[in-house]
Amino acid sequence: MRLKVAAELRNKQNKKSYLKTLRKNGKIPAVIYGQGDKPTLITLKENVFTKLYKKSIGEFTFFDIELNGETFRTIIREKQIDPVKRNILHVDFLNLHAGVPIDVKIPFKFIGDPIGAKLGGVVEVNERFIHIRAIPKNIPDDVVVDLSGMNIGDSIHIRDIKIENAEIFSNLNDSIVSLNLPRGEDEEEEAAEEEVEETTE
Amino acid sequence: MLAPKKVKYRKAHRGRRTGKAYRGSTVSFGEFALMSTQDAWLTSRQIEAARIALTRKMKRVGKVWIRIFPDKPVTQKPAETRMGKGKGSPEYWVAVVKPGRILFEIEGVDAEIAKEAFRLAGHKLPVSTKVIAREGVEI
Repeated sequence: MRLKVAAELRNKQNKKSYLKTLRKNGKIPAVIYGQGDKPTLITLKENVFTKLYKKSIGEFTFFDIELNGETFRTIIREKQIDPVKRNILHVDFLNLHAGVPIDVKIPFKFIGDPIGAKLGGVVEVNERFIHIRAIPKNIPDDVVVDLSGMNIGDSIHIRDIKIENAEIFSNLNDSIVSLNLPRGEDEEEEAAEEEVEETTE
Repeated sequence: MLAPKKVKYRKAHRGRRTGKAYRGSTVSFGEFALMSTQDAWLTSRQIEAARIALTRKMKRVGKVWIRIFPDKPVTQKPAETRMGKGKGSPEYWVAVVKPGRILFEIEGVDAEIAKEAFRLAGHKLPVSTKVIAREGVEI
């Protein structure tokens, strides 16, 4: 996915008070950096960028940042959020260069209803991203994982995934998704009761 | 109840609880999470009570993660004891929680059940809480 976002240059002073004022005025401080480039300090409009960011979740997204007539093709390298309010405090953008490979995490997209789900199995997602290295034009939006053939006790591993023109860095033996029977009700009740007894002792 | 198996030092200082929880503040394992919006010491009994309330509501579906561990010993002096003669003996264990800390995470249930389960669990805790979801999951 490609999204366009407008940005403004910001002062080079990185004082806390200045950044606080920016945030109070509905702006998010951010930075664009890349291999060999000088870091560019920018601000984004909070309401606009938050909407775009929410749209980008679930797919690998390139952000085209428009700054003074120039366009930077970037990806989000890191973002800081407020732990309580959950709003974005700062974003790091990585400026991309054509032909230079980058390390990225691509989200999995799960499709299909497993056969085992009808027999009472529960899908357990163990990995939500795959770590790959590729040049920007070969990076897929997402990696589709088809669950329809899964039966109880089955798992899909990283080694079962094929991505063209990309090097996979995730552990090949890691399980992405597994389908298991839920823990028995009696078992759980017993465990809970035992623990309650322990508590009272 | 949760408690450390062995510790290097039996008694600990009280410490300070300023600031927010920058670590342990993202939904890492499940889909929905219970977040503390206050700072507190959560005892192992409170954590256990919340866990039981959570699992009872979820029945046998889904998975639960407890994201905090009570690793801090709290000491008390016996009743009607004169001051002095050293620090009291360890009585119970607490987890130090700051605003923004994720307490529990769950997966495999609907948003409605998750909200209700977390509401019940939140009532067992001495902090105000908020239910949040993983990025991209609606609540």
